[in-house]
Amino acid sequence: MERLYKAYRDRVAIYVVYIREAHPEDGWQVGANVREKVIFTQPKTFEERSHIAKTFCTKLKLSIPCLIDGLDDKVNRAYAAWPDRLYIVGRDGKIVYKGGPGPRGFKPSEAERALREYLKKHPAESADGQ
Amino acid sequence: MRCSSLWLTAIITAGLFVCVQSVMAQQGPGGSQRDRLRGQGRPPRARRIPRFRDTLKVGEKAPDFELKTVDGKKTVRLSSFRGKRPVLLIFGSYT
Repeated sequence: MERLYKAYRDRVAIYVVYIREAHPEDGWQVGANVREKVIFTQPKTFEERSHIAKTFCTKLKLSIPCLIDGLDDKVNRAYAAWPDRLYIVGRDGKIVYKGGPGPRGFKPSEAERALREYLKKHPAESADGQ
Repeated sequence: MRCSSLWLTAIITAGLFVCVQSVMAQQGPGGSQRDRLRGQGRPPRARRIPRFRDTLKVGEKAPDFELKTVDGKKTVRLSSFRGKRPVLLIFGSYT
């Protein structure tokens, strides 16, 4: 994802949207997270959530800017984004690419192909978005 | 004499009951602690897994949103990129 960000950041707005935890300690905890000591309980307040998001975005040394979904999971719900998912939104505000739900449907290479195709079809000069 | 042995039995029974209760509480609803650590436990409660209806389609208008950045300094509105740049959204969490 990091590579994708570096390659396209000048032409594409790229954001990580931090949504509710998939495998919190008080939910469906998985072994891999225990081994890597990635153990959190599901945040109950926006402050807690933003604290975990901060850890997430800095620990993974993400240079992609991070946004935090509200505790109401409004954006998560609207995009059926949980547990992880990729979307591309065109200049006209319409959905260009919708990845499958993760982890199986989370395919950065597929998204990159869609992004490349979109940029080829809609070069920046004709930014009116159809 | 008989009365005190009755009391003793009652106290022992109560003690045992408390012990069993606390062990059960520790194990929690999702199988034993060991199962959970191994990641083989099933999700403890189905309602904790959100099932959001997946209704968006390619070509539809993307629902607009305005969210805070992680440093809390800025808000970003999806529609602010309209007519300017496409947007790649990477949804995810830490765990």
